[in-house]
Amino acid sequence: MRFRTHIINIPLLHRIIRSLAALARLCVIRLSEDKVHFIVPGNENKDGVQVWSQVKVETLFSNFRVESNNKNEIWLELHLDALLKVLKSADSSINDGITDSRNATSLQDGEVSLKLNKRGNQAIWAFDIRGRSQLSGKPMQITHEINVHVLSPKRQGELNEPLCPPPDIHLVLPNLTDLRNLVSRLGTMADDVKLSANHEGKMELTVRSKNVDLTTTWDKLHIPTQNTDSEEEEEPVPADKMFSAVVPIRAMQKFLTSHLVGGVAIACICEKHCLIAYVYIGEISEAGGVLTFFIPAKTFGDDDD
Amino acid sequence: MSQDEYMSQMKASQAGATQILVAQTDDVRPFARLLRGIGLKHNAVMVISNEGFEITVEEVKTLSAIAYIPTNLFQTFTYAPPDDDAPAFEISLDSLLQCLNIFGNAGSAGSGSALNNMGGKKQRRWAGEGEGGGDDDTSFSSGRGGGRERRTGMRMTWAGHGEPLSMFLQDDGKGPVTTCELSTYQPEEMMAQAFDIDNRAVYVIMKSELFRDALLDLPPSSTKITLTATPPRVALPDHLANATSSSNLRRAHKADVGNLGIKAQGDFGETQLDYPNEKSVMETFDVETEVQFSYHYAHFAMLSRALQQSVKIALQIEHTGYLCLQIMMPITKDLGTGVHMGILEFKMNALEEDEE
Repeated sequence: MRFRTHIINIPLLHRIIRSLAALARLCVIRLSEDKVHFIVPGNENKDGVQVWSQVKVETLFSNFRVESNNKNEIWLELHLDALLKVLKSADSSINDGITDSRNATSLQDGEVSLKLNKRGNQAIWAFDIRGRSQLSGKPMQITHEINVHVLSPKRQGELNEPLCPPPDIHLVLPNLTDLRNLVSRLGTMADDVKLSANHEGKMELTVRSKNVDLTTTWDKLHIPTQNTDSEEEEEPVPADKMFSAVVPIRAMQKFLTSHLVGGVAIACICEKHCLIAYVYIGEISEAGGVLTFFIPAKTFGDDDD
Repeated sequence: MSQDEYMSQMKASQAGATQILVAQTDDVRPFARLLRGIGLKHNAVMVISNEGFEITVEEVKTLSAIAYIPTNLFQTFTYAPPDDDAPAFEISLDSLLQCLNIFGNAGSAGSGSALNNMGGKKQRRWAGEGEGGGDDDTSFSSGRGGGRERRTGMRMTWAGHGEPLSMFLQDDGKGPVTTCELSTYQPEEMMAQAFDIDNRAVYVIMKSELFRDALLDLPPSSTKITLTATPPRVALPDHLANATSSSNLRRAHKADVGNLGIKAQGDFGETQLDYPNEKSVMETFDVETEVQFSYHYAHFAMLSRALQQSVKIALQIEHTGYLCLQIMMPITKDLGTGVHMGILEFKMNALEEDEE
């Protein structure tokens, strides 16, 4: 079992890991020859939010080598906090050399490499940050090691992407930062939010409490065209029919930490079942990667319209 | 759908019920600011009249706060008095403020964190606050909001007794729209007594800034505030005659012109601030005999929030010690005499002697 690579986009990796760290302590990373998957299983937080994401190797890495007797795949589990600390350090050391010359810790021509190693019986990820000191120009090297746990094929088999019915609707979400700010304000009013949308591109967020009913409505959101396998074409739904799912506001906030990743996001509603959000890394067309959040819907006693 | 379409749709949907009230503004901030000033409790009683809103919050028998919100804070204010009782209902002040701030343009942000500590060790959570958490990771969020100032517009309607208070909110007439319905409740009876001008012992008008600075200078560990109003030209009491000469001079001067003293006492000592009746300080100073009354520091601490962005205060005290503080908001447009942009009024009883 071997793994080593250069990390070419530390800031992006840092943001991805920050988003994940907002919703879980542990994360499974599945390394394969062309993709890296970041997985947060549902048992990691009490709202049952899961993340199944995949990022193309070339979006984050170069000189990427992974070898194993399991289809050249390696599955690891690690503490997000530990990884986050390393990435923070690496991010400030690399800093692209362009900006922030005041940053004394920043190195010139910085490079970060990552290797799977062993220390005794403990598997570790060893990060090497190399560069030249800004002041003296002398070569510098910083090494970080974090413990990782290699998953057995049995554990791998137990991790399954949640099964969802075909979504009732897809639509492109408004700016995630705006949405995050609004949802965090809703969080002071109620525990749950109802997300509804129709095929006219209308989306509503509704909260209800003893004192107030509040609905925020967006219009003309983009509905992505689907490459439908339309053999089993059912009768078309009316464009103004609203589909909805009630989710904990806390779960929405967790998913919305992904505004850090900064891409376009598409939401799918499987009515009364779940909300799925795809947050794209880079341009959708480039398909650099996507973070997929599954947020299970709550069943709402008094709200069954 | 444009705002106009929404508006007309809203109107259409409400066509069945005639509105008792329609109030519209393109910037909710002045309205929200006044409401936040009285945000001492979760709920408030709202009274609607031709003059605008009168919104009252009461801490049973100890403190009452009223926001007088005039119609000129709104571009449109139409009020059709119902045949029966004058409209009065209780609403959640917290929720009202949260709704007004739904797009983040009516919050208390940037109002100086020092003020938020005025509540002392209790760290009171003010109505309408609660952005807590989630907003800390600005380092990545690429300078969102920087110079661009957005304003939230509002249209408020009320259809009569038993109906919710409805609001329609949108930023600059574009982007997402928010509609809210606030539950209205039968109002609690208000207990605060009226201030009796005929029994007035102190009447002082001064700049808000000076009074606010005074409140900020008082240590948050204080428990009691004592106000001493000294009329002009009172002879120096005999027992002070042997004090040092410089302090005698100062005292003599204050005694000459009159003085308002604010003393804060607490477990860690006391602080005394003096406001002499000088032109630069007092606009009006009407005190006939020296009076001294004490109040809860906690009540005074609540005033500092209300004082933000205000221009003037009028402080009146009855001979019983019953205090009435009126806080005036700046007048931003030419409105003629007798018109104001909102007044906050606080009334509180003095501490009994043995309450110390």
